[in-house]
Amino acid sequence: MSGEHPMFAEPPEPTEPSGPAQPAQPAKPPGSREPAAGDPEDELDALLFAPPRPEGAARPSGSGSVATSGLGATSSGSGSRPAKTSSSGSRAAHKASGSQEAKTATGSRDYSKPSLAASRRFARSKILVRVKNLHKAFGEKKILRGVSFVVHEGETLCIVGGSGTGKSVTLKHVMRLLSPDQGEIWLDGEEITHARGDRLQAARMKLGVNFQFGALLNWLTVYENAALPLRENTNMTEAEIERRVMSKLELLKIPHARDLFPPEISGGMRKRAGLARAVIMEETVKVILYDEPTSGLDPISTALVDEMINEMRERLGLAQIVITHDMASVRRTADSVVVLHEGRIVQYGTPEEIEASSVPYVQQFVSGLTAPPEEAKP
Amino acid sequence: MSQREGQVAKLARSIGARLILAVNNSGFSLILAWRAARWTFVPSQLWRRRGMILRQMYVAGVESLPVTLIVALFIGFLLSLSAGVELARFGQQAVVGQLVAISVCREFGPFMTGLILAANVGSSMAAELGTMKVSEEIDALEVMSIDPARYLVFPRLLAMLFMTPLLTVFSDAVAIIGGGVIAGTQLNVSWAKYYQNVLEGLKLYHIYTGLLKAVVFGVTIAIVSCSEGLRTKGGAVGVGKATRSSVILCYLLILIFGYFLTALFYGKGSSSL
Repeated sequence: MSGEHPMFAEPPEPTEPSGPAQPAQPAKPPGSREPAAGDPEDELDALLFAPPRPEGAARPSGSGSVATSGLGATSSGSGSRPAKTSSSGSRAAHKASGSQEAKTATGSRDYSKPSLAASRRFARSKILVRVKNLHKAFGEKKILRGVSFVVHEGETLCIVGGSGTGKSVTLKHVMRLLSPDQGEIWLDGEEITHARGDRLQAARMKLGVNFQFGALLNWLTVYENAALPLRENTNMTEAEIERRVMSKLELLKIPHARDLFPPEISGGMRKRAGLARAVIMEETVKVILYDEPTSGLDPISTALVDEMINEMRERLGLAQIVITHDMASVRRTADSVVVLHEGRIVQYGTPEEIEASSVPYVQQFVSGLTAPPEEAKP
Repeated sequence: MSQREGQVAKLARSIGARLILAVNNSGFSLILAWRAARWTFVPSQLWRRRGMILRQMYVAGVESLPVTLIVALFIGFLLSLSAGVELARFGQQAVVGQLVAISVCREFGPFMTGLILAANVGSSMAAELGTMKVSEEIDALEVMSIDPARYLVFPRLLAMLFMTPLLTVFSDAVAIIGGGVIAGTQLNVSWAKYYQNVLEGLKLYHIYTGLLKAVVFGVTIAIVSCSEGLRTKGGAVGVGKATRSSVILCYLLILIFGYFLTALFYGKGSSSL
């Protein structure tokens, strides 16, 4: 399995940034656009890699309200992947950097931009998804008001927030099922904001999507559902398809369900079958999107799904975006977290930073309070 | 601006918005028709989708056959009886076969088959695709780079393209037989005489214009129902709305297209007269 595709190749050892305070600037990948002097992307790079501003410091000129960061940041090699898999160690390191930042961070900090800890961790990895200043309204109702984030190779980004805050709308923009009113969407170094036809199809081949309820076709068995993208988009023989599908069903621990139809299996199995289908095009898929993968599941099934998300990252090294409002899942799976509220990012940081947040809405969300804590000040 | 002017402006805006929506929906349906129909000429796609095409043919043809035949039989009864009674007043009941055959083959056969298929098959297409839309299955197909027009609409379109004329042939035959039964039992016209009169009156162009209408109706039902289904929004209520509007639209379009096709084939200046 692992020898079949570069995706499964062991990545080189990640290189640590030269110093904790000044992360090294990542190299541009081959084929990427070289920014000219004064390029807005340079400014945005600076925004990402700059340490938090001290109290009272002026905003960088020209940055405007654009909250995107990490534009153009790429890896020193496509296979490089931060050592996220060593969970306990990196979590401890995270906590340390998060608390250090908490000391330096002041009331003037813009929480909608990624924290230093969140930016540093994958700074040397290739950016696979970049969403920049996304705005969307349905009629008079504004759903997104300038959402920006980046997801690197090997990173799991959780987007959390209450119902109706624009999480799923954001995800649908990444899938390009919706077009933004304003803003940009980049996937694997290519802008797909207005992509159509073959270009859009090619871009979507890089995405695997695990929908909220699996979105399996009811008249096909679990096996046929997982095989569908291969049958429709490749010229693989039936034997090759069977080998591939069974390997994915075994990876997700549902080989026994191969001949069952979606209504005959549990919600958790349906989600796993949906994920098998999402990653079946292993030659092309680089990013997996999960829309509320644990909603409606019991705690054990939730833990299994979380384990599955971690396994996808560790075994396949993919970038992942998880939409959820389950903080327990966030703690188990996230490398970085975006908290959305009323279409805006109210905090962007590591799970530890979110837990220790001083932003009232984030505190309220994390603690599950009915009202924001009164004493909290951002 | 006075209150009256305000109301006029509001009415104009509302009419304008509906017009834009209608044009938008028509455009969507036409583009969908093109995106689905172009695969008809790709043999590999026909072979690859043979299972789904046959399944849709079974649903549209075999499952709709009983109701279509029952309706056709009673249409035949009705036409023969109502026309025969009037003709009998002038001693002309012998020509009832010709009247039944021509009106069934030209108009009633495709028309009633279209209506039955719109209610029976079109509604289920709209509901099925609508449910797939609200349960994100259509989104899933798109994200997997599988064109829903090719994967879902094309087999349905092809099935309706073939099964509507086929069902029309059966319903024409059953309606003519039904007319014969009434002619024999109620109008004292022997079966042999009725049958001879049918053959004398019925011309080939009556049959093929009727079948052409059936083809148009079949394509209309498939495209309208699928596009209503694919445009569904808003959960179960949306599915119900899509189903209802697909049936209403199909009925309206069958009537409108039926009239224009009749005018084209049999109207003033047409060559087939």
